[in-house]
Amino acid sequence: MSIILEAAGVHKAFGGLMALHNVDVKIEERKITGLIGPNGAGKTTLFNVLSGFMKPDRGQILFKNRDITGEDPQKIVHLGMARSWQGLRLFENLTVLENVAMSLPRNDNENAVKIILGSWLKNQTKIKKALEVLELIQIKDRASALVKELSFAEQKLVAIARLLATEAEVLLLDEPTSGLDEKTVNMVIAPLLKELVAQRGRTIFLVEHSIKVVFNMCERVFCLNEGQIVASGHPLDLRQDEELNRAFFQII
Amino acid sequence: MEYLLHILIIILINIILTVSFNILLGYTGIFALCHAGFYGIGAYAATLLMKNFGLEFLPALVCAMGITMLCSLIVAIPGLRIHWDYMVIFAFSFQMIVYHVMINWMELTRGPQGIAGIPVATIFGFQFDSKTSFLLLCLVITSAVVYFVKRIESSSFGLALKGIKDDEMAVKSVGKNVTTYKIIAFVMAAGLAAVAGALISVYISYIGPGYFDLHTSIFILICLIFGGMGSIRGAILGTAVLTALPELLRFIPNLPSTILGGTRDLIYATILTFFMLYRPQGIVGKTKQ
Repeated sequence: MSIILEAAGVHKAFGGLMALHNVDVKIEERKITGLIGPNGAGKTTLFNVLSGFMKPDRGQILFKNRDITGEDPQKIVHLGMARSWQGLRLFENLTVLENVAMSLPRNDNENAVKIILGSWLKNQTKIKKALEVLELIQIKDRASALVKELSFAEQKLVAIARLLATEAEVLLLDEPTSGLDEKTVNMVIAPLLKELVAQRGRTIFLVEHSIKVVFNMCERVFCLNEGQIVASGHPLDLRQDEELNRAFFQII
Repeated sequence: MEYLLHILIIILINIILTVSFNILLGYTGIFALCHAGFYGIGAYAATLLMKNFGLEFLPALVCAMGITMLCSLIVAIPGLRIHWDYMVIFAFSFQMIVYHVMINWMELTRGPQGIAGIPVATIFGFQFDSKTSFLLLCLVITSAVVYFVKRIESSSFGLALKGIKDDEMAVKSVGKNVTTYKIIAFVMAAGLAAVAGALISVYISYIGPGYFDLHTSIFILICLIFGGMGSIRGAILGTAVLTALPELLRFIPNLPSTILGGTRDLIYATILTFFMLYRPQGIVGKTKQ
């Protein structure tokens, strides 16, 4: 299996606090990889560093064998890696369709004048693509609703839809299941993410709080504690590691 | 009748200012209190080009837009990279600087006494010397500006601007270059303000720094808040009402002209406070702040 994303020796400190300490992470292509750890372990910081929202103090980020350390976030999205947010950060005053349409990359037939002065609603390719994404996420019937009027679970789905619309191959999902009940996670989110990997060739790296979800969905897991990777491997192997169970899974 | 035409012309010119300011504050959420500065740069540029180089109105208008847009880059490039609250101060300072340049650069602007004797607008030899014809010219130009802004509103670019107002980081995370988008919006708004500047200069045939000071920037802001941020209809309505309203004061008998200006400011201040407190979305605005 080939490695599509790699963090090598990443350090990040905030003042005296070492948020990430010599973090090495390798993400395999077309797999779901999980990142777990207690609050304040540095999970979101690692995501911020990978997606270009923070520059690491030391270390390298390699994406498709290309050094992307310190690149702008929008550049990284164009290269093929996009992230979602723990706080969702949806455009609440816009509709679901607008949220998704905005995130689509520029069409081949769109020049600067068309982008600035052409109506996006008349751009058939764009609308079609946006509706396709909404269909996949099964939220098409809510396309014209304002995001702030949606339920929390629906908003979570819109966040995934918006991420998919960027057409990035690698998706970094920051707690895609937090705040959702177990049924929604098992019936909606988990099958959806599995389908994205199996049918659509995406690679998913997700931050997760619930060990259950991680062990159910992921093929590989990284355990982060106090800024350091303390263990990694297949969920089944990790589960059998008694010391890890005692020391790590207790505190999450 | 003449007086009514005069008010209509001023309303149309002010609409250009408010509608273009709406691109910044209404769609993108950029709070830059220096719109009158660009209005002034446009007015002075058009005036000097017509007076000193004998340009006709349209070429002078286009050049004035270009000059103003270049000047706006001075604010936009550094200003839109910093956090928005610093940008507020930065734009405010730019407004003050422009005003002081107008007052002090005697050779170019003739300082506080301003420039008089600006030729009437001439397009392909036709002189817009009557109020009716000039009103028509304003109507055409203002409609074009409103149409242009409406196109922006419904474009992918406009959509991204609205996204920026909601959440800048999120726009970045879906692969849009936020800084570039903001700079383009800013420069376009400045260019449109210059159109208003060119119109006012040929209309009154005199310009002075007093037209383009902080008061004017605040007036544009109040029109937009009153009408409704983010809405073109609101911007137009707000401008029409607030431009016409103080004119009614003139009809109050025995009101000394010395307190006329003060009363007008008082009305604006009251309206601003009232709307901020009770109806921040303006008369027709949709988005609640």
